[in-house]
Amino acid sequence: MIRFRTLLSLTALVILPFLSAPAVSEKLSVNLTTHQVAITSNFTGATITLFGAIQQPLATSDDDTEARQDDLIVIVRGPSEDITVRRKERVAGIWVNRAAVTFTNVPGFYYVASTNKLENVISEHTLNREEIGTTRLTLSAPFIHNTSLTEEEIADFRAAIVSEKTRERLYGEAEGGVFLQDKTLFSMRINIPANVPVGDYLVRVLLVRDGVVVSSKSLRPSVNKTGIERMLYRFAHNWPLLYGLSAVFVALFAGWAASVIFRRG
Amino acid sequence: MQIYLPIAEMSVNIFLILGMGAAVGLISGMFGIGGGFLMTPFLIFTGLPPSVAVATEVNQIMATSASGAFAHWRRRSIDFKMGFVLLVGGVIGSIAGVALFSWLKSKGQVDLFISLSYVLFLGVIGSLMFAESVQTIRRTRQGLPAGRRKPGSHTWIHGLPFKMRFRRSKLYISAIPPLAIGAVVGVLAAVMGIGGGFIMVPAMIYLLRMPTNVVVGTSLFQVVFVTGLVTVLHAVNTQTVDAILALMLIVGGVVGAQFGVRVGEKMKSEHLRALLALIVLGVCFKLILGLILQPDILFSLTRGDGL
Repeated sequence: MIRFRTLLSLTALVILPFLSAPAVSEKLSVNLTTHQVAITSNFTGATITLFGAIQQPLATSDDDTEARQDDLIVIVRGPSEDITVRRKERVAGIWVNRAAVTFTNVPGFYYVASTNKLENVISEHTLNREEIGTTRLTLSAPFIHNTSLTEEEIADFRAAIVSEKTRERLYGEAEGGVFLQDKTLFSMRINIPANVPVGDYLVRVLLVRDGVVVSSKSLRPSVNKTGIERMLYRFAHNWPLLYGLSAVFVALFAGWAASVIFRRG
Repeated sequence: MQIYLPIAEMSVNIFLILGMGAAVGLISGMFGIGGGFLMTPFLIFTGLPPSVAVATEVNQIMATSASGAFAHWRRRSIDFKMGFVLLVGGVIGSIAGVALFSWLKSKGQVDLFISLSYVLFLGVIGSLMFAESVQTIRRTRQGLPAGRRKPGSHTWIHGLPFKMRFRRSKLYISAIPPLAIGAVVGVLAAVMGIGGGFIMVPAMIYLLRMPTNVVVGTSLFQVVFVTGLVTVLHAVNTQTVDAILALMLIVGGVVGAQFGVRVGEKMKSEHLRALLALIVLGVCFKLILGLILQPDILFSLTRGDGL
């Protein structure tokens, strides 16, 4: 994020003198329908809607009358985690986990939406640097366990993270997922599945004009367990001994109650 | 209707879990077994992480065994001294088992180990039970008495040192065999999420030659404490005991077991055993398929550094 801010200001410094005045004061306002997603006992996922407005009408690619091209990119990133990927191999007729690679800084949730094909909006170089798109995530692999793997094989492990997370609907990309109305209003839906990781999220909205980010906004919603779910989770992780003992007493009590209720005769 | 499990961090269908609890409870009531050896694979089949399935199922077995143990306590059919010796073995076994479980989990091999243990355990027990019950059914059809094993004379067990007197069981035997049986059951509880009554009861009858009227109560007494300890150890070591899941399983299991007892009373015991053997072999077969068929996805993801 810091790197990105520095980059923005650097870009601004270099480009500003050459740009016409309106681009500088390009105003972007965005908000979310909710900033707190609560995981409750009947949580089966949620949808957040991002909405916003731009001061100056966008000139999109289907609009031939404008000389310039404007696009919006929205990047949603969940809390990072370490992920160990294991590959099964056949050993003596059964499938066994063998090679393992641990990746650090893997987003637990990642979603990109845009008004256009990403490659048409901004240069591949920028996309890579800003980690825009599931295939461009920097997933570094500092730990390789038990076995030597080639770079290509590690790339397979990396791809496995993206495909598995995509299958679980935790990763996604939607070209055209940002909807424009009257060239000044926009909205997009962020679908959050039930297995979403809890923590702080970062939503970045980029306004790109002719391949250059001219304005950006960040929002920081969060996903949290609430009520009894939060209580139990915290209890289990902060006071594991007490939690275990409570589970034991609940089981003992349930057993005793059953033996009394269903006592014969 | 979906319910979110805070420790497993996924949502499951509440009726599916209650139904499985009731179905396994029914079987456990019919056959007088804990049912953990069926419930743990069932939970894994529904997509729960095997470590959560094992740790939570142990918590449920504790409730089921406790209800039985309280009933036996009232009937005074527990040999507390024998139970205590089995328990000492159980404590050693379960501490070793939980350590093994945590180590395998860090190596990414816990799922494989659980599956392999189940295949071995269910395969052997299921085949033996099936053969034995078919033989009994044949014998009764031919009008022969269902062959009972005669109480044998002295075996190698009686030659072991550290003899103890167990008044309630009317036994004077070495403490080593009950300690060893308790330890094996403790390991099984920790790594497989079962009570172990399934193997402890036959071992107490055939190896220790305990009188049958105290066997079940004494075994339940040991299982209550061992599963209690394993629950606490898993909660502390791996935080895999899901309280919400355990509660649903307990409720479903208790209700199912009461119906199961009534159904079981109406069926012939050798038919019951043949049926149970088939269920056991079916679950075993499903687990074998999971091990030998090529999985759709060769890669699996786990959180953490895996060290």
